[in-house]
Amino acid sequence: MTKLMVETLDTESTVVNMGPQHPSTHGVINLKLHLKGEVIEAVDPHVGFLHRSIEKISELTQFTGFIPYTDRVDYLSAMFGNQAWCMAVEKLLGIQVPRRAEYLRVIACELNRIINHLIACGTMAMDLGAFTPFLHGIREREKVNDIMEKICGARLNYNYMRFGGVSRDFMPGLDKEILDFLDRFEKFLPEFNRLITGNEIFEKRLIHVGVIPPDLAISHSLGGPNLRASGVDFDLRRDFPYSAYPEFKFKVIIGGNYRGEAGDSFARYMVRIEEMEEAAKIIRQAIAGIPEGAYQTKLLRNPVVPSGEVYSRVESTRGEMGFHVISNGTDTAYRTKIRTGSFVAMSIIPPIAPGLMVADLTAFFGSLDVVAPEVDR
Amino acid sequence: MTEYEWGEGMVLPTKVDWLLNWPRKNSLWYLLFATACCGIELMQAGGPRTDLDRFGMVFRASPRQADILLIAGAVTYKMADAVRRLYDQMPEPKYVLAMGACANCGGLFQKGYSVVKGIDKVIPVDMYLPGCAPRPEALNEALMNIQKKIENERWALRMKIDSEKLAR
Amino acid sequence: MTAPEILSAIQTKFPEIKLELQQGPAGDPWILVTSGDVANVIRILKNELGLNYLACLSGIDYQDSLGVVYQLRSLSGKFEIMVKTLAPLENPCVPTISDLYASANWFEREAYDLIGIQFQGHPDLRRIMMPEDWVGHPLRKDYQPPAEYHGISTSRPNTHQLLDQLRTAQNRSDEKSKVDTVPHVTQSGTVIPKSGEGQNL
Repeated sequence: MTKLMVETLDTESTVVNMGPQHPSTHGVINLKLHLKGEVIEAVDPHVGFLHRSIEKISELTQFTGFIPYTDRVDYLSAMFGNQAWCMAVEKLLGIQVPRRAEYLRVIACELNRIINHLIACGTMAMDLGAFTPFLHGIREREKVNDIMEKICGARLNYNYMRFGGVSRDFMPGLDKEILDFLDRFEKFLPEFNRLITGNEIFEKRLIHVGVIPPDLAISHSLGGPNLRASGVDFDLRRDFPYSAYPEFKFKVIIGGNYRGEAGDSFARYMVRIEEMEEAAKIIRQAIAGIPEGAYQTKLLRNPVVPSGEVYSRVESTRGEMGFHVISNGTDTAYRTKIRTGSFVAMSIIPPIAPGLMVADLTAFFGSLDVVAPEVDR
Repeated sequence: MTEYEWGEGMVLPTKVDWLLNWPRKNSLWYLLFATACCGIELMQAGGPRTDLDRFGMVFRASPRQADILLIAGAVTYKMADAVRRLYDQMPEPKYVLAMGACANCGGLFQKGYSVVKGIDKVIPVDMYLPGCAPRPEALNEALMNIQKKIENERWALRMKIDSEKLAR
Repeated sequence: MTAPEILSAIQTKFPEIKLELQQGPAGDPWILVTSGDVANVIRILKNELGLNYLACLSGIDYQDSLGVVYQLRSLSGKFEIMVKTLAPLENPCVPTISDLYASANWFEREAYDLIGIQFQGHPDLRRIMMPEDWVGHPLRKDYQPPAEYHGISTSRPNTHQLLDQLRTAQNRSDEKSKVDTVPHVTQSGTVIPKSGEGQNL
């Protein structure tokens, strides 16, 4: 191209549709990009392509019958949905969960955290063009799927927890199987890190990309790894303790100690990797100290819940999963509002994306770990 | 292979049918279209344990390069327009597998207001696979059944159908 | 800080604002504020008492009024409070808090889309979950879904009617011959395919 052509070349802002069917959008999300050349001027996310009206169905289904729906709000961390819903209804019913059941819940949830972060890191690497780490993650996930099948009977949508505990006790020999998996996993994680985390291309694509300052993160109500990677020291398991978490010792991973700066995409990725290690430690402590006892407080199959409002929240893999349940004294909820971490993570894309290039947006979006079902419910 | 009697059909087109169908059924490329939970089982089916690549199935991101559309997950009314457009973009011959309860009939979201009660209200479906979410082994069986369906296709008849469709 | 302490902290500084502490027979207490004052109260809670995190904002249809519930949290002080406001059904206007908390932008869009509450001062109030041309607010108690949308019918198949038809056909055929010519329907509704059919697809 001659110098004259380059000087008179004028680009205008175009609107390009990314999605709803797109390999990198982690589900059906539509991002309308206003591009000037390769640089993004504005992003307008359109969500709602997976709005399955779960909140309306909670008004038509009885409390116990709604437990399978809570799996499908975020199917990659289904145990957390179960736990938040059961905690809300147990608070309204005023019943106590036996200690053994709390330990079983914690083991199930932390296993779920490990497999969710495996998929999150794997798909993030896949977005950047590396297909192998994803398959490594899936291979480990298959082992945990077998364990989950032995825990509750299902590979993906668990329906494990009930009001007052869990639906069934562990099979004999299952804790040894979980410990074998954790031994294997602790050998797998350094191999995974050698493969991608230390990779120069991977670092160059993620460091200083999509930096979220801490006050913006708090203002946008982020949670989980997204919030902690920006340097905010907040974890619901430690600060608003629930279930059996006060009995375990675990570290809250904060960003800012890795290459790059606090709040960039690499920090979010590293926080997830280290959270997997912490989850493995929590599971070991839980299996070592699990008490004998009942695994469920026996209740009626369809309990009539006294009227009132309650907000229960758990530290889910993507942030805070909260259930605001309003009951009116019958066996069906009056209104349920499900608050998820991905919904607020989507809302931080319009302020941060301008100035990034399209490839950087893919990396940033992958690092936020957004899944469409959580956004749309 | 289908057997023909004398007078009912001829032997030579049968062999040609088999020759044309055999490579087609052994390299079905599926469109990477995963909406909800079934999408994760689809990804696991493409993973190391249940490998779809050994059937010759690789995922393609663009509908123009895909043979089979696996509707994995619930489809909402907002998404139905996009699904129809994806189906129209795929070149013939194309197949559709409705994977999971939500794609078959709306699944457990039938009481809701926003889920299409079965993807066959939007696009024609060749195979229905029940389950919520179906195991990767069940997905394998469904894909093998589609392969059997392709095996038994008769090309002369197929081209007649296609020209009727084009004429309309 | 507990809910009564927060209430008295606001009331002592601003005695003219009307506040009320309520609680159902079970569950958590909440502070009820009138819809005109709610933005000011939340501003006070954020700036004076340090509740800098908006955990959740939900719209509710109480059938005689529409409500908005805010879950506010202080990250450093480690306490939280539920604030509720009610708006009349004919003109549900509530001032926005999207200038105080950036996440309220999307939460309020969702409350507008699904319940129909108008947030005054919101920079971009449009539908978020439902398609742009959807009619009605789906989470209202008196909502009726449309019969069809863009040519796709929204009705569920009447499975009871279909099974009854199959059963009557089966009964008629049983009288004729012993061979199954129609799919057999058991009492519980399981359909067993014709003999010779089934597993061999």
